[in-house]
Amino acid sequence: MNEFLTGNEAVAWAARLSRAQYMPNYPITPQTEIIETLAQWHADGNLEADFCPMDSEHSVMSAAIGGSASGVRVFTASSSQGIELMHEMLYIASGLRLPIVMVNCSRGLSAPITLLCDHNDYLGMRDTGWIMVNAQNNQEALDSTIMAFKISEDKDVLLPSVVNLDGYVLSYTMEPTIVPEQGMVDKFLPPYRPTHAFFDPKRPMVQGIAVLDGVNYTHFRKQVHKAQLNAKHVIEKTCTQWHKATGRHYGMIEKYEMDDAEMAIVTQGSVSTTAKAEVQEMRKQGMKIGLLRLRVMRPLPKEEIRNALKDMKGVAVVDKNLAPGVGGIAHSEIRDCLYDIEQQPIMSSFIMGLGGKPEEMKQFAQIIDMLKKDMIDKMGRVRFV
Amino acid sequence: MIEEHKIKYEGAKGVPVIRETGNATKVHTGLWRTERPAIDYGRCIKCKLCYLYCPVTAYSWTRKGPACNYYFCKGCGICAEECPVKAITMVKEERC
Amino acid sequence: MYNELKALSDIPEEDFLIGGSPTCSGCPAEIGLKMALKSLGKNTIVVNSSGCMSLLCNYPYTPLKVSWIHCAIENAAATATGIARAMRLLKRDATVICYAGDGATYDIGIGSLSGMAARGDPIIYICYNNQAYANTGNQWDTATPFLANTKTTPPGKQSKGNLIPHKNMIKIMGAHGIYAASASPAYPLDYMNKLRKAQSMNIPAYIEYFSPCIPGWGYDQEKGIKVARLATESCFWPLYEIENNKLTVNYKPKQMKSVKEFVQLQDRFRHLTDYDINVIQGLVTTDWKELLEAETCKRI
Repeated sequence: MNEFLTGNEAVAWAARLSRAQYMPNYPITPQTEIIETLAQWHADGNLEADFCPMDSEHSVMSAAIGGSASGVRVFTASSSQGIELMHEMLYIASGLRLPIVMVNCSRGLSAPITLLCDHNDYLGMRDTGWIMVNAQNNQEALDSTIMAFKISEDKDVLLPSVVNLDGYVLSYTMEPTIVPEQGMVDKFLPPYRPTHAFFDPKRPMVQGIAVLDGVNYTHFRKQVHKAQLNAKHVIEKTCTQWHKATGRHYGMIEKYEMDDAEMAIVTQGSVSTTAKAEVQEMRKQGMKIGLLRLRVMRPLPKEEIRNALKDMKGVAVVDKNLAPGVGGIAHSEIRDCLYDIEQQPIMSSFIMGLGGKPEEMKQFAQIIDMLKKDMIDKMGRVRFV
Repeated sequence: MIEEHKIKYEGAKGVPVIRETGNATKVHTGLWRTERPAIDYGRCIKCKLCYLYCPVTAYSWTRKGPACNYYFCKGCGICAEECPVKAITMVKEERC
Repeated sequence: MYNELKALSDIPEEDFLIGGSPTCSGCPAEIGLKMALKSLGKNTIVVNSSGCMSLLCNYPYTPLKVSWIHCAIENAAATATGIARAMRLLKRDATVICYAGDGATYDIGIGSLSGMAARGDPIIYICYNNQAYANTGNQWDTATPFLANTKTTPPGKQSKGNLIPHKNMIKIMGAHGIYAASASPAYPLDYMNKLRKAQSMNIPAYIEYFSPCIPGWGYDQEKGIKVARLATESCFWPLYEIENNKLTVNYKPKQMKSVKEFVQLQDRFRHLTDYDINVIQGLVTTDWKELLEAETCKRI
């Protein structure tokens, strides 16, 4: 059905349609609307799930781990300070191989405290072993959340997933969204039947044991690494199935006007739509510009990034995050993907939109001007936009 | 040393869980002790306190009274201390 | 209503915690877990916080015959909530218990424990209280008694040991309106019956189990149960329960022993003078009188 939904409502629909069974939650701006929507549906009898308000985000992730370890499908949501508070539990969730799906409405980190959007909370999760997907609009957030359950629960993966949507920009903004039918989602996403981690007193199992010797510990960590590598083909397979069912196509990355481009802008999240509009304008002026949108951050699509950017002369990586003393986080990661090629493009880092700083189309024209300057100097730089 | 793509993925078996509950029977904690309990069945009143208090469940209950599994017994001495009729004494472990 | 154990011969024979664990020889905390599982039966799922008991299961061995999960230090109660809710969703008959140390309960985990008590899920939270952070080497926590020697409150030229009186967690949890009780390994029937009572009530329960610690307190390894018994006989560790905000004292010693007998068995009080022991005796006597008064006035 066609609806006009905020990002929060869209992901709440995704959780309901996915028939998530257990939803521990804790309020934090800007994701509170997700849990309020679910709460109202639960009170009206429209949500067949255990809706469980908890006492802190740390407890939320602990309860999510308890629920998923027992063998039920778990959904939760959080943002910035909440993600930081539950940080130790994120590693535990992926170490125990529990397919929890979490939505992150990204918000800048304190201090100074802000409510508005940036990606530091989302990207702070990149070493936790979670599968990370960043949506550029509400439709993609809804679709990615449903797909996340299928990807996480796949036998070749068994890792938790986070779907990011930008706080305020997407979470509180209404957009036309197609909500899939329950029947179609049920066919796409069968019930969760774990064989690797569950609690049944008739078949006792010990989970989360101490592994005090390095050999076994390394073995388990290698399995997590391998699961992340496997996730690439599972994500591609799931996106193909989703395309067949709905006609909407997603991938690890998105290329826009990249075919004959000489310079590229790399973005993540909602700013991509603004950037695409400016790329269209620049193309009209004859500039050979393209845009690469990094949709999946983990597992990092190294091959795809390398193939998309290897023929570029200049790449401007737009980061809505900051690694103090270094520059943009995505910039470092993408630079790493291009290390092994013969003719490396000039890569500059542009820090844009921290703490909800407005992103305007004309800023992208300025970014390209700066990139051209760096290409002449043959040196990539870090700039704040 | 192994390249990342050659790591064998073990699926459910590569998850850190133990399904074989109670398999610590293979751990020989009896090697820890310096004293072992010696039971005088003549004095034993079959109150079952030694069996209840043993931290490693080394005691099992037989018709004549408690039987100690010396494979696990760590020699803590709680059974001897708590026996109400002093039917258990701790004697020096003879093996080196 | 529950199946009360009236004598030692009533205690079920099946054991769910067997040998081969790497705990200290004579560890009362291990005895506590063994007794709890004996009392509650085979449909138990144990949620453990980081502490001494986390090392029971060391890959690839486990001495437990029931399900177990170890999560982090401060969230046994929150993880147990997730499991209890999942068992209800999956319609599986299971008793979810937490087995956590005093450090994980009194300090870092008090938030998630309070949340669990408020939410009302039928979880039995057993705190094995060794009155310090024992697993990391016996550091002070808010359960450490007055004047005790711990690694972070050692006696020295300018200190007599711990100068911060400990919290009364049983009363704090009782004030949540749940079932809260103290227990001791020296009184196994009382402990095991309290667990069965909690299991039958289907509300959150908090049982605090007195757990002497051999390396932490410095007593001879065979005297674990004796130390616990002297603690109760001297009213240092009284046995009482709180139900519906009303306190009942379960064991009133006929002759209250001097706390000196209890204190003299442990190295952690070795630095005390007779004057100091009298101070501790004064505190213990005051607390005991207050407990009896609370029982008479039908309050906490």
